[in-house]
Amino acid sequence: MKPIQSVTEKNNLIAILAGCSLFLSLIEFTIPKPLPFMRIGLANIPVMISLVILSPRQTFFLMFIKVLGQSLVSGTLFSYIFLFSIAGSFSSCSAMLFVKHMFRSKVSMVGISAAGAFISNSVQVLMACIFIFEKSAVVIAPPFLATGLVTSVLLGLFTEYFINHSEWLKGKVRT
Amino acid sequence: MRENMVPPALYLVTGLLILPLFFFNESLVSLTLMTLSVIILNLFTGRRIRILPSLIVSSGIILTNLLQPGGKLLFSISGFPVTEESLLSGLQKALFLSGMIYVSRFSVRKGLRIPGKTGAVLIKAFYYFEKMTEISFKGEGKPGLNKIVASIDRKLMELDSEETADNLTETADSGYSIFSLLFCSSVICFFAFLYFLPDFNLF
Amino acid sequence: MIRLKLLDFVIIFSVLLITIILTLIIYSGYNLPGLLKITSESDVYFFTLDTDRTVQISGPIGNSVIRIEAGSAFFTDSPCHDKLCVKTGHLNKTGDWAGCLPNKVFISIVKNGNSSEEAINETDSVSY
Repeated sequence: MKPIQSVTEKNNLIAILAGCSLFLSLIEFTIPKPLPFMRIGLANIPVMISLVILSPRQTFFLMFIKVLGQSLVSGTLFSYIFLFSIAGSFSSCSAMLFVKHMFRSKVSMVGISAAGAFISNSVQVLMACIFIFEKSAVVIAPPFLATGLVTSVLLGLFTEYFINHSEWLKGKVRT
Repeated sequence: MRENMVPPALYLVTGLLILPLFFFNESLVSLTLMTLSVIILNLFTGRRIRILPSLIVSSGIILTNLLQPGGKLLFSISGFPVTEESLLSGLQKALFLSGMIYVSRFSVRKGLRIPGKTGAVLIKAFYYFEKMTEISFKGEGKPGLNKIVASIDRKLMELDSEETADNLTETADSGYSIFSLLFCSSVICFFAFLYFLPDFNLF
Repeated sequence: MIRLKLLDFVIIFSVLLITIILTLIIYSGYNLPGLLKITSESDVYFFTLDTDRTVQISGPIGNSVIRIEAGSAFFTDSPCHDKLCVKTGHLNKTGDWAGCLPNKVFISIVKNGNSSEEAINETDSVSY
């Protein structure tokens, strides 16, 4: 197994993963959805992968680059959308890191993904109720959380498969 | 007007100066005019904007506000009460939030540089993003999960072995012309004027 | 191929459980604040009971003053001579009502949420 890489190499790795995230956001954007708020969360796959190859700090940095890049592309950097996505991403990132470091090999990406999506969706619904809509907007919470559970399990399955089968990841995995 | 007649940094400064006027604005008239002006300004400066998503979100906001009746009953649509205060607060929130998005669209332009390590990694991320769009999922035999993973893998290893990514630099700003400064200051003045417009009762 | 761990199922199950519980709580609507409905000669007004405020309603003989405070509503003043409406006291449960007949101002607490049609018709039949 290769020893830990240099700073530039690590930054390159973060940039590659962030690039993948942006690419996946683009793919997600082209997939039609019944409701504008519904998301699949494809862009989170690279963040999940980073859990096994980057340090927690670097994972947070990757998350930040991802959110910043997304808002620069969509031009929403100075709007509430940025606040929502940074709050959602930050909370899901913390939740996933917590689950990963708490249970290590006792949990797979499926559980990590489900936990991350649940936390992120709850935070965003809560923010929506407080800042945008009236309190009565909690009615959107159940379908939001339910679809989030389904998509996050599917994403987790894919990520787990990718981690087990990727040649690229071999030699990068943190011990 | 062409988009690059004003440097990206100046768009950012102008936008950030207009933004607070949306924050501390209770007047519906002023908010409406400001939002319309920002939309026109975006189109005028060559920034494409999408109105439909904003309209969907706005109607959602107005609708959820109406779910909680408040104030005078204006009319009711097959039993659903439309009340004055709820409608006004919904309209205000919707205008404020869509105005914010349009100001943000106006402020963030191509070529905007972000300083420090974050900016450097971000530029690289965009470079890799563009490389990723060239990915092809072609392979022998039936398409399946293993084929997709293999294609992504191939692309990632290709990106790994690239050396060019380290010396990516952005083109420098072309300087501030008198025109761009004049343009931006008049935009700011116009919005300040709109901000102080008196509100009047709509009903 | 993909081996799921026990903890994965624990997490999925917990998320599912929380979602179901939340769904039940939210759709049962018990957490909605009460809604005060004010009917005057010409207009109908709605106010939630969770924000304190004072409302002036004009009627044929003057202004009736209604106060919403700490989840209940009451007349504080009305231009009638018997002041029956003020004596009615605080309204805080669904179905509670008070009225000032001389000034044609009627207040009642209606069910919040999917109330609307019912609430509007119900009081219409009372006031006429």
